[in-house]
Amino acid sequence: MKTFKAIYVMEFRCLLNKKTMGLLLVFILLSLYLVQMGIKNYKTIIENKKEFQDFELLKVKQYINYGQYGAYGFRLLFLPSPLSVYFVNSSAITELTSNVDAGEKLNIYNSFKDRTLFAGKSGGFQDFSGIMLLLGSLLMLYFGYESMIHKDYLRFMAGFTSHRKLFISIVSSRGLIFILFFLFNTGLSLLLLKINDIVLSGNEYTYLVIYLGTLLLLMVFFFALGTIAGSLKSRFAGFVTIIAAWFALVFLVPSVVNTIISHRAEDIGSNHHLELEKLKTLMDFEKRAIKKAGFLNVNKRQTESERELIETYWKKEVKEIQAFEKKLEREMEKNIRRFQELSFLFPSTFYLATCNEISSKGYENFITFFDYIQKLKRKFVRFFIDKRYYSSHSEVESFVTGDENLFRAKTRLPGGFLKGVLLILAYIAVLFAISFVRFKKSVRL
Amino acid sequence: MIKTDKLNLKKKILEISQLDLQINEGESYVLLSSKERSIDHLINIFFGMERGFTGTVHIDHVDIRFNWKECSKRIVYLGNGRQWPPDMKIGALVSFCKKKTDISEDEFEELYISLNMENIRQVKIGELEEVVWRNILFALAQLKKGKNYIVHDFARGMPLDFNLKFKKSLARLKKEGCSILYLSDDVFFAPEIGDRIGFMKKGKLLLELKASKMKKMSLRELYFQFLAER
Repeated sequence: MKTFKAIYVMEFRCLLNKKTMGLLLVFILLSLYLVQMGIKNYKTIIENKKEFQDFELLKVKQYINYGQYGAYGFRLLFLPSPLSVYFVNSSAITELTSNVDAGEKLNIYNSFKDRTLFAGKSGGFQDFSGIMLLLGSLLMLYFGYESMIHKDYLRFMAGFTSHRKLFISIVSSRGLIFILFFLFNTGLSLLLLKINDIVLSGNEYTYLVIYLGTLLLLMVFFFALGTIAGSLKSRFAGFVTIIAAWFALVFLVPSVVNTIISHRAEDIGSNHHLELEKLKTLMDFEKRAIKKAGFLNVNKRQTESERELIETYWKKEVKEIQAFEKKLEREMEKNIRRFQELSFLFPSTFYLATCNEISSKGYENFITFFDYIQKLKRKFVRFFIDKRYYSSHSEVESFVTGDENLFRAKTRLPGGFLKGVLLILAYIAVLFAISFVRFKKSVRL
Repeated sequence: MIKTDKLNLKKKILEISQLDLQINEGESYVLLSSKERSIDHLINIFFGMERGFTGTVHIDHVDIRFNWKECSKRIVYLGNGRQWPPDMKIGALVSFCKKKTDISEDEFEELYISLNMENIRQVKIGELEEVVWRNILFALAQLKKGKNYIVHDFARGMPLDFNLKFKKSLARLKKEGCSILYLSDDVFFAPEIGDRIGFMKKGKLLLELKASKMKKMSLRELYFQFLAER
């Protein structure tokens, strides 16, 4: 313990110099700035929510009859969790709206017609979690490298204690410093959330802790990689190694994983094909209806035969149309699983996949959103049939009476998250084992 | 006492061949080698980092192969490198050494004053003058209180007054019963610090001389005969 304590004190004193502190301060300021940007973005979404709901109600008031309401349908808005302030553009979804009608239409889209054209696009590093990956990884690689390059110092220290103790003390003392640093930084960002009146629920705090755990695992991984690079005989070779490792893990691997998944996604049936299938189903019903009851007169009261016809539509075509959507949903889900499985193989993509889901704007939430829309669409069709064919309303009532047209996304974890954690822990163990062997070699002359 | 008996180390080529050395208490031995790698390997053996040798190495009659931990306590190493964290403050290093050694408060105070620590404890290693840094290193190494010194070209490139002080310190250590093995290729400095001088070429000890005898010989000739790589 005496040795550990002495080395800890010395490493703390050595690291806490003006240069390192300056570097860490810049890092903190940059990450806090990005959190503030995330907060601004989130607040805009919340403000838009009210506007969206008001306009939707106004739209319904414009319709003269239920036929129009059924044809135009209604819109749904995807609302991210407050935790998304940390992951503004590290997630798959930036903004989503959906439009459904009583027929075949079910659209999920991201409009670019207004200011959203200029909103931050997904896949960048301009948010808290992104900057942690981009600069945090580089920082950890460097400090890992730097801990092992001072060979004479290590040799001198080895004269006072065993190699194993020395290695563990140096690695753990530096690891502890950086863990404290990342905790401090996140603490400051939480303070910023409080100042901006963004309240996280207990569940969201739990996910924030999980995110922090994932971040720290990633940082320890990069640190371990840095120690290996630092223990190479040549400093230049070590430096080149950390740059190459950083570039490969932060840029190359995620891009390769995305390319593979995008190729695999070609197996998924196209939306155009789906739209055509749904339209065919709807037209089959229309033809059947015309054949049986002639053209529908909207001003006339519905006859019993027309009601029977629409009930056959409810029982047959609506189910068929929903089955098409379900099939697409399953295919997309399958590809999402593939993406997650592949992502878990590499620490950086594991981190990105986790951020994607914790942000509440990931693939899992997209599927839940899709599912929610389908359920709501079914309810809307029933509402439309009841109002259009079974009641005699003069004024069109809104289907949406509360917040049904808002989808509040919840933070989640990617499927098989634990497997990913275990794999990254295994990587870290292997890297430190290699690092220790290299360390012993490097203190040799 | 430092003793090697028929020490052999083969890597791709024979790095050390049949090396027999015995450095008694109060004696200093300078091992001059034409090949830096042989010296590096020898240091690695003394520090338990090279186990692939044959023959035996004893430190105060303790076999290094079987009781490295005990041997490491008895060895003090002084290297010539400067790969130290430049941002580390001298005060932190000295505090560490104080915690890790059995130095008394009085001894520490004496050391503190002799190294002028009051003025330099906040100075970073990277900002220190080479002479001051080596003085500190030498002083800190002595805190370990080992009786066997492995010194690797410690005085190379240093000014005359440092060398003079260093020689005096080595003489004092010898008087205290320490064994000193000085590893170098500096034929001119060797007779000034060593009682005996060994010449190693291609890993093999070819000649051993007493310092008094060596002083009478042509150092230049000795250099070209044993140390210059041809």
